Amino acid sequence: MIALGFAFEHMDGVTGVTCRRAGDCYALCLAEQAGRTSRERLGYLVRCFSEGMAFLPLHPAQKTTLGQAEEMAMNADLHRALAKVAGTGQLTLSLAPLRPLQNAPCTGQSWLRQKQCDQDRLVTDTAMFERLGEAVQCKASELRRSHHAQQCDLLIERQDEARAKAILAKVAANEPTLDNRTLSISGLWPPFAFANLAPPGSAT
Amino acid sequence: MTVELHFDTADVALQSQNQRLVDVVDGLLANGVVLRGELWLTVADVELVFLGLDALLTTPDKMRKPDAPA
Repeated sequence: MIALGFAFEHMDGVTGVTCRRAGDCYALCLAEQAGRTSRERLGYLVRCFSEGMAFLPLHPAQKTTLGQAEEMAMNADLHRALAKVAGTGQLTLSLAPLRPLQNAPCTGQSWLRQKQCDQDRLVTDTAMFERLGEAVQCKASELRRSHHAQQCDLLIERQDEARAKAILAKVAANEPTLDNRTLSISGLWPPFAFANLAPPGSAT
Repeated sequence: MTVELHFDTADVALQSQNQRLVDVVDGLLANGVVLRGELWLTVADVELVFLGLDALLTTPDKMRKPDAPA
């Protein structure tokens, strides 16, 4: 069995997800074959979240067995961890170039210039994410950087979703650093980026 | 100046085949630490040497392709 998160009341309502006793709480579990990939696990987490379940989500990128979840339930202060994210969700902001990235530079000089442009863009993007987080007045995750885009997550109250999105749209519309960029705001997602739960023995 | 702003629900983002949303979900599921170091040696505004180091620390499970054997 794979654990998706923890709940403090026995709950059901999502097909394929079962509740198993783990310490003084319950582990939300999934059959091994139903949650082999991180996308599958994320899908089930979103379904539980959409059903309004109050639970402490594990990061879907990390495959946590029921045995590991039971160990966590014995050793971690899950009640305190749940209290931090209860009633919240995360909005994910993703910033990407509007057009596909240019072809690889053909000379050393142009390659260096591109590296410098990338570095400058990282600095301005980081500052912009900070401004967006401050406008909504919420906790923000650290910036994630990939080849395609930069992302960060904002932890907001579930009932504040519409207000937060309206503020983000207003602030983003006046952002000069968004020139020729695409800002995607997705969610609400379960707040797994803020739950800070790692199974025993994991490196991340 | 061109700005594109998109709002998507979690369900739409997960089920979409749109490359933008596929990238959003892939980024959301990224679970590792990237160490990046860069050093430029410059004389009189002329870049002479660039040293770069990119390292990714993550779990073997994350690095494995989804269809690869465990």
